[in-house]
Amino acid sequence: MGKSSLFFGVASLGLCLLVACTKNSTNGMGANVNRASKSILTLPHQTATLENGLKVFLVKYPSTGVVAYQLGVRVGSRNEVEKGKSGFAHFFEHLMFRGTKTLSSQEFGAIYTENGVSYNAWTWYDMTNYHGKVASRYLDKILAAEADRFQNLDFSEAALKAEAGAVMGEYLKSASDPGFLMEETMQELAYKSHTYGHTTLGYKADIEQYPNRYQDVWPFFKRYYRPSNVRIVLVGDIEFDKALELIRANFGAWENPAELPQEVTPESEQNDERSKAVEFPSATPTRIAIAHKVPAFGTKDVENAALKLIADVYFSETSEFQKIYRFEKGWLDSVSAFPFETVDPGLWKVELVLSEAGKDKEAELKQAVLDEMEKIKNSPVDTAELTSAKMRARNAALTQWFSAPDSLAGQINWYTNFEADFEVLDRVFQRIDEVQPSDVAAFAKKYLVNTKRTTVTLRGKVQ
Amino acid sequence: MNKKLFGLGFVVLALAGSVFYSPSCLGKVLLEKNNDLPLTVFNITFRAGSADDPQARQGLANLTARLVREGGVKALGDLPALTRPELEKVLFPLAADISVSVNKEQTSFSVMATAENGDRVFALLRQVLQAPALDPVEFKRIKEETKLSLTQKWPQQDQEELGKAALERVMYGPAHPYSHVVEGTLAGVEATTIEDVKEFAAKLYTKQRLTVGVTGVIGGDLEAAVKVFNDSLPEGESAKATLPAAPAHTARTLTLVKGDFEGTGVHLGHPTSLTRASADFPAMFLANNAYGKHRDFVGRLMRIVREIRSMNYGTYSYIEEFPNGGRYLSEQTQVARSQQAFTVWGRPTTAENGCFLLRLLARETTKLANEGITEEEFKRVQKYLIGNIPITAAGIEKRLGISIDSEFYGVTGDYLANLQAKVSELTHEQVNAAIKKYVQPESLQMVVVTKDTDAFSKEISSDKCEITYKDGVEVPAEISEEDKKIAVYDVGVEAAQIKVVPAASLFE
Repeated sequence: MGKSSLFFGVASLGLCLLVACTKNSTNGMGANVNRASKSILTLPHQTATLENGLKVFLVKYPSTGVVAYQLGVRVGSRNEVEKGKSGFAHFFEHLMFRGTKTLSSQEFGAIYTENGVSYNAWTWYDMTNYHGKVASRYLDKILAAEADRFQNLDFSEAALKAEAGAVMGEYLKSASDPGFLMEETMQELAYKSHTYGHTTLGYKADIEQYPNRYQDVWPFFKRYYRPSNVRIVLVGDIEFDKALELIRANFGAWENPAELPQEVTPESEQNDERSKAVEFPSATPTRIAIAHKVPAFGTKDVENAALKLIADVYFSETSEFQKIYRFEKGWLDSVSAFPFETVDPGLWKVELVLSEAGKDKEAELKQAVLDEMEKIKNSPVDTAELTSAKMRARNAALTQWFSAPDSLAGQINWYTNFEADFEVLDRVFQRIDEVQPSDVAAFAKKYLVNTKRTTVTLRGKVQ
Repeated sequence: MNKKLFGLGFVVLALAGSVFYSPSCLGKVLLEKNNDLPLTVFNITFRAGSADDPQARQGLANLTARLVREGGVKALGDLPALTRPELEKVLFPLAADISVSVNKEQTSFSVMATAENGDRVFALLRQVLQAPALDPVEFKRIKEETKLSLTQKWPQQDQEELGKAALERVMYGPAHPYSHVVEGTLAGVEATTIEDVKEFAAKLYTKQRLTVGVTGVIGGDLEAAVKVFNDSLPEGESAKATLPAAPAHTARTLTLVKGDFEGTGVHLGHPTSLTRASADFPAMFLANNAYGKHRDFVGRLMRIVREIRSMNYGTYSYIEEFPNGGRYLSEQTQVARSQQAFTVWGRPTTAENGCFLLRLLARETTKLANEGITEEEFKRVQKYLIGNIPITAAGIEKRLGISIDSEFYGVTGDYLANLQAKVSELTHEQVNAAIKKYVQPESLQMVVVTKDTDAFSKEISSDKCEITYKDGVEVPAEISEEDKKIAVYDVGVEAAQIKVVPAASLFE
């Protein structure tokens, strides 16, 4: 604030400030830090694994006085193997806000409130993430609170029942979105035995039973909320030694329970083409999703990288496909083909939302997507296009990941859920750089075939 | 082109994001240098938006922004002319996704670039803004997309944004430029021509309405290019839209929006004279956080509706517009408005509890106005905000956006640091006095989005509508007692005065 008045003083003399502002390298950036020159992560970083297996990822980011934190748990709807318990990981995420052995839900929440923390959580197929931003000087309080709930969660049956209502509310909200019905239908059709067959929210019928599930949530907690299954990511204004000391003090004594995660039944190989049409209960544009089973995330080979580039070259906004069918013919309102990385073999969906002009062009559009798949297999990819997609991947990461500490923390947490070391970030881009035109065609021939295909069409109710 | 420097001040922001304004040359260009990160962020904001839409051209501001962005570019200097797809091909490898946001009074073109591509990306951004090709084929496409959105997305697909749009219409009345959504009306969009777009851009994408923000790695060439851009814009005719006053509501109203949704959503509020420039803003900021902090358990509404009664996913209150609250956790930038409203957003509950939720929210808001917040709420939320305010803008893009909004409101200094300081000095009495001044329960405009409007109308007009708790939800005795009072609370609108509107009619 003192500095501010000084500048005001200068300005009031009638000068407009046009000053080159030289940045010194403070902001807590210590000298004893390795900056790998070729790494995408140019900010100082450090990693550690506690004796109980809990993994720690620390990055210094120039967000003065603020730290983004994430606690990633390797549990998601993928782990909901028991019948009737779909959506449990997400339900459990809600219950994690309901208090501990020594703190009521209100008292627990009050710790965050008192310290002005913005915090939340989300659940996905492979992961549950508790995240937030906190003033650096209150980080100790938040790590202590997080350690408490991860080790000593406790709540009453009444609290569980109340939270069950909140989850049903969330389900109802989602149910008004045609995209959700698409996802629900697609997952169920594409997976026969694997738990990717239901969405992260779970089945409505199962959610209706949550009020009676008090006894069932505790084994789930012990199986998955264990130190060896958890990562802590801190990105922001931190000192490495102090941060690590805090994490050790709060999480070091946490022991792994005897209960082990349950085995997830693998999906047997898909050998048939599947399709289904559903009606949305109100008027809405027609949507088509054409999905193919694709490999689990991994950086051992270039397969995931090839898929990412395929999605960009053939279906992004600059693709020939969108040029013709969205922009020239005007048959499409939107196209999305973002490949989501998954722990087990996942689905790569090309999703189309048809425009008013395209509402009678379902068959042509489906065929057009399939024609693209054939093109990828049979005509060599344009090398300029491939290079452009490779450049985009890196440039997008440099801008989007680094624009805020929570974005960077999120990316680190996401990728270390698959491969638990900082270098996974670099391997992702190394593999992208390595992809050759032949890899693109090989991927398509292996995976983008009709026997691995599932198509869902959603049509709005005709009014 | 007017080459004269006018109102141009280069303002260099400090490293921690503090804004240093020079009173003698109000800044329209904000530069914040930060060499730690491998990127540069650009945000070019015009003080123009849907409030500038002419009569019978509702949607023009949005169509203009989109066509400027998506209609290709003409040659500018040594940069060649490009069609939309050609331009996208150039931007694609740079990951320079120029995004456009249009709200009531701001239109913003923003993009991030890696540090090494900063100069190139800015040149392309400048070409988009200063040499738009306005391709008629793209215009036709954009119009079709907008029409689809107005006929399908708005009325049918997002119950919650629909409810907010309806509340806005009811609060401001059909004659006010805030009454239509940013995408416009079907009739307005259909009537709009490329000539309208050209005229709108020529009149409003001008220096008087411009704020340029750049943050991150900024080299000398880039700094010079920013200056050239600012210098070469025409002066323009006005600095902002002239808005009529918001209607002064002397009575409550209830509007039922009929839409095909499973649950029932509740929205209520009224216009206020409060903005960030108001002396009472910090007090109302605290009050609003205590009452209904967005997507957080800090607020009273979240506690009594979700945590205790398990009625819905969340209930929040606002003193500034917060579009797309279902998607965003924290306040967006470039949604600044010169007129704001106090609003409450009750997310969908089951249809059978809709009546009870409306009664609860109308009653609780009345209680807030009459009794204010408690000493406990005041102290807790004050402490919360002192820690929370600084963390709301940890990212550099957000910090830049906030600085641009400060320029809009004429708020000098570091907005967040000042807000934090003022909040820390507030007293409980000041906050409750502000609530009395700005929350007017007699003026509540109420909107309910539901499928069976007849049933709702009967229920809300009856003497009593009780809450149905989910199987197994148990509430303490004092809550049951409170429920009895809520169940018979009169929302103050006669059955005959209840309006019913089909969702689609709001966008026609």
